[in-house]
Amino acid sequence: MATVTQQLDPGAGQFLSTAFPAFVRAGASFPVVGLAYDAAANEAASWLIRAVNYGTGGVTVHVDWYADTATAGDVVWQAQLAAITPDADTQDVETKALAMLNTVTDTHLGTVGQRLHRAIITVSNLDSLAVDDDVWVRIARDANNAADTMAGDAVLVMATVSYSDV
Amino acid sequence: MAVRFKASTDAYTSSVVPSGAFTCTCWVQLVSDLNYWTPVWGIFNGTGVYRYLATNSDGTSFTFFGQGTNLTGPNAVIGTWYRIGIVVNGTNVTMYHGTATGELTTATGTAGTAAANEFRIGGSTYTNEVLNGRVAAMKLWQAILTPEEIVAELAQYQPRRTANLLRYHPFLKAETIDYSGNGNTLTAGSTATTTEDGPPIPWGPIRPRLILPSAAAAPVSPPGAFFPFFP
Repeated sequence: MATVTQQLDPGAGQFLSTAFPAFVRAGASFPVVGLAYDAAANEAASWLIRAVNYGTGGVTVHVDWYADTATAGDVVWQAQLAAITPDADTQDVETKALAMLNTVTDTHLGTVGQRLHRAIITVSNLDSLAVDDDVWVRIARDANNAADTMAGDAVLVMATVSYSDV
Repeated sequence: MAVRFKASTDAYTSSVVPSGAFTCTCWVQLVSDLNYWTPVWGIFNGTGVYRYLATNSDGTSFTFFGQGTNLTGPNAVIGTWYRIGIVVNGTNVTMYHGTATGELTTATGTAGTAAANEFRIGGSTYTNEVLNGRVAAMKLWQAILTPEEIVAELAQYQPRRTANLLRYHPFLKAETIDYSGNGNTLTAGSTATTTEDGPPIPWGPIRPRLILPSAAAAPVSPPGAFFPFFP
């Protein structure tokens, strides 16, 4: 048994034409790049992966993020999947819907504003995920949620998708 | 992200201009309708020589003015991002334009060939012509790109083609640096530009992923894969 982990690169995130996070670059000693999710509007980015060696069970999405300006508050992160089995599913890929989203509320740990946090989202709505499916992974900030209380952008610097191979 | 221009004194300039055939691609968004010619970028020699992308006098109809045929592009909706590629090949000019999705529309015409000596972004050499808008992912080649190359270049910040790249300004920040490696730094105007949200494109292509056999208890995806960000 092993855990398969796939990295989602912020530089490769894809967006719809509206409501998307800005690609940003900062850093003094090395480039810190990420996707800046707004505090006032829901924004989302998507990645396509293949569920290689997927076995059974849930999917875990880790979101590594930092606050652009805030030193406190909560961020509500969402993750959703849309899985298609090539050559088997007849679903039109361009009209495919996402499965129900899963969320986690992650709290800024304070002390230093731009410290790195990791939000862990347990994705239980798997959209009938099967091995070698093509899977669109959507990660959003639910900024309009009353539980999302952090001011300023939340910058996603990396995310991963992991699952068991058995 | 993108650079925001809003005053005539914001414009970036450079004395390094393309000569002969060239291609320029960028994303642009108008923030307000000035009901006047609104320049995005261009090459000039005073006001007597110009080949530049701007709006028409209505403030929203993107047009390439080249001292030949005025090429008409999209009639911009304020606040909407447009991707525009211009290919100048001698006296022939082609404009490729579209919004964030769908195929690009093509327009062709003619242009003059008189030598220019100034490159501008966010302004022109004509008094009162101002861009109140955002520009991102600007790339300029001293070469003719194919329609397929232009589509690919407009799909991401990073240049896919580096051959003959004369200047590259991603504008992730409001800055004047040329990231082509040619050192064609722009000169900032007397007033400061600002950094604002950019177009809906990724930085670059998805990196290759290594997926190990399930028997190996190891992760996938090379964490150290080459990803050339500029400091």
